[in-house]
Amino acid sequence: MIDREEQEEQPITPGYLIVHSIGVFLAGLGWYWRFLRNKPLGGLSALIILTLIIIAIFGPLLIAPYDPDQLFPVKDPPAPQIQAPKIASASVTLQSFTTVEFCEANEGACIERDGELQFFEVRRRNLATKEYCDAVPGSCLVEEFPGGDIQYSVASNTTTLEFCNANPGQCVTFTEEECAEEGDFCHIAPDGARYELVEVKTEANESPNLNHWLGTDNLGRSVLSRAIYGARISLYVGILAVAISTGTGTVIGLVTGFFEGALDFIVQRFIDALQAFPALILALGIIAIKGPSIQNALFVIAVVLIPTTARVVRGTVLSLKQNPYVEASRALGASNYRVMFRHILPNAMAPVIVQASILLGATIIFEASLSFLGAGAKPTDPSWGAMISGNAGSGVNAIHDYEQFPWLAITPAILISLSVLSFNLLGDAVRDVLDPRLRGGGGRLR
Amino acid sequence: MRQYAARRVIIMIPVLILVTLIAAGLLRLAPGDAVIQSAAEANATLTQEELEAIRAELGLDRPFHCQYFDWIGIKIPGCDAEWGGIITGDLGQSLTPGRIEVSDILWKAVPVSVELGAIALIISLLVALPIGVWSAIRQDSLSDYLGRLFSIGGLSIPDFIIGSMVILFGAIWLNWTPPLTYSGFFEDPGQNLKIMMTPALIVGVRLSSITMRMLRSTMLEVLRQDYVRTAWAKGLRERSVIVRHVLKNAFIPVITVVGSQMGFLFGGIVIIETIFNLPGLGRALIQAISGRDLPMVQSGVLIISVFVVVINLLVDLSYGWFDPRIRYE
Repeated sequence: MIDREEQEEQPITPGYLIVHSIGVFLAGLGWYWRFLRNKPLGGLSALIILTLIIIAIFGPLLIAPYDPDQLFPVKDPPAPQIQAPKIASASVTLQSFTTVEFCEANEGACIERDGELQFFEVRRRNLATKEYCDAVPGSCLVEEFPGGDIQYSVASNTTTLEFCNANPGQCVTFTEEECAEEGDFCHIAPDGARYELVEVKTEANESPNLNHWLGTDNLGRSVLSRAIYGARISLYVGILAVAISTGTGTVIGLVTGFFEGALDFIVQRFIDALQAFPALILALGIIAIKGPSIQNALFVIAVVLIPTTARVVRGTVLSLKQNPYVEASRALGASNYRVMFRHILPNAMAPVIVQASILLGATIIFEASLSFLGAGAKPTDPSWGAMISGNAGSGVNAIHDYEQFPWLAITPAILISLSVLSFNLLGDAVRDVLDPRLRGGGGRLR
Repeated sequence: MRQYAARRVIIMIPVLILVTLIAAGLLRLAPGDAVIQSAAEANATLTQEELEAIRAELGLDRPFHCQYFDWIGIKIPGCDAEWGGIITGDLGQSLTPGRIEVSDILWKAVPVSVELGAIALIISLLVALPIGVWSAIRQDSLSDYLGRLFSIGGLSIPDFIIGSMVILFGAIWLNWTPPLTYSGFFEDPGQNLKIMMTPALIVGVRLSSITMRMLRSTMLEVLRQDYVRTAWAKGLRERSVIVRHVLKNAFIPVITVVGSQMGFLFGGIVIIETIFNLPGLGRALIQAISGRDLPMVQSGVLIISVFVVVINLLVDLSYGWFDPRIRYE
């Protein structure tokens, strides 16, 4: 007894810290080793997730961050406008599809644009123009293809050249005159910039090679760099959305399940309504208000997931309330607050944790689906889902790009599937450890 | 039980009202309105007066609650809303330039979604039930591991990735692309099934992995029950034990999962519909959202929600059939 008190008095020296952190590390390792032996698949997937998290945190440090000074070492450069690719306004009039023989011969895949009929066909390759229309906000992106001096121009403005940063997909635009003034400036990567960092348009759509291990996309951005940044976005959205929705859902479920009554009835109807509302439509509706971005995707996913957790928690709380220990603590004079948070909540945590670990995988898929539809991460954001939607900015029409540029799709597809698989396997293992009898779907009949 | 069902039906009404209010509120808060969106779509430039004129014609200049009650069809003081509307089954007119009846749009879109969902569900059950039962009764055998691998794989690969890959490799290897035009079942059944089969297969196989996992884990639990041991001890054949004693008791969670899948299938396969160019309800709703087409969004969402709540009720009522111990208060 006396010994322990003396130990606690001991000053914290660096040596003490090192020894103790090694101890904690070894204990964690031992715990992980037992987990791995009991649940080999769960342990393995925990390792994969840990690797992804480490890549997400430290990976971007390996690639130099975006830095305009480094990008433009030329004296007195034109003021760099950092902007996303512009998207031309939509002009899809479907009535004229069958009016022209030419279009009919091509299966009626035409659109009228600026008074002229053009192909709206992205399934064939050797066309002068490709047009990708975003399903959700109804905006279009025109791409001149192939050939011409400027291989890629974004948003039908053929008189600008764009330099795009390999990493976060930020672009700097110059007009042709500005380029002419600077001479070769527009055709080579500026001095001092690392190859991975800045690329000129002509390096777009390279297949995997020694400089770009996983190839480049249509803006010349390295797929590997984007995949590393994408890990950050996918895990950030996945983990944070689940944390927010689980936290909110737990509080809602706890309070409504504990007090029941009128409040419970009203809140339950709201939750019923949210659950009856088709999830993707709800998400797209909220995105229509707030505009597509990663933060908004995170918010939307959290909102969509709240009812699930709230229901699970409410069901658990309803059954936990019957336990004698609740009555005992009441008899001792415990307040509602104390009973709820000190007695019931800790006992209701197991199903919540299980639920959260299972939801993580689903969240990553949901974020990728939103980005694929053009409603999550913007095309310039290096999210895995946005990467799958590829050059077009909206996945549906981009599929046909993969025939030419399969490496664009393969990396993000593998990464999404692998991370979701790992989260699912880990979720299974956690479920087995915490509550072997728990299965989803219950708690509806009361 | 009848009382229970009646109570549930009454509770549905506030839920459905909330659903339409959420739909209306979402579009109300979104920037732009139907006039601006369709003008932008037609590349037309309108003056402020023209905008106001069209708004007045569409009734968009009225206060928000008046528009809502007009759609519902309840006359309230202070608004020019008329009796009629959805309480008499009239879903109103779309706000797109043609002013098509919403019910006409839905008549075209809903059968596509229902057919796709039904085929997908049948495929999913045909795959899930045998594999799930087999991997439960042969636990830890090779076939069990293969079945679980299949199911966890199906859960982990998003449907848009599978869809993209099918189109990609279909085009490369089989020279197959999904047709650009859709033909209905009653116009051309053969062509229709050809169009539907691939997307339904993708959705169905993915759903089957969820059902299969659920079936396997519940069956494993039921297989360890005393009454199953009794059934074996009575000398019943394996088939009889599995079907009559185990399967029936393992079905409640499975029915729950299948029920929630039906709701999802009816309104949620937006991505597969978009990838495979099917003019279903999900796509119609997305278009309506981007066109700020209030009556269309409200009606579409309402129909989906009615379907979901009714399915949930049926699922809950079916519990009593599978497990007579369950009583409905």
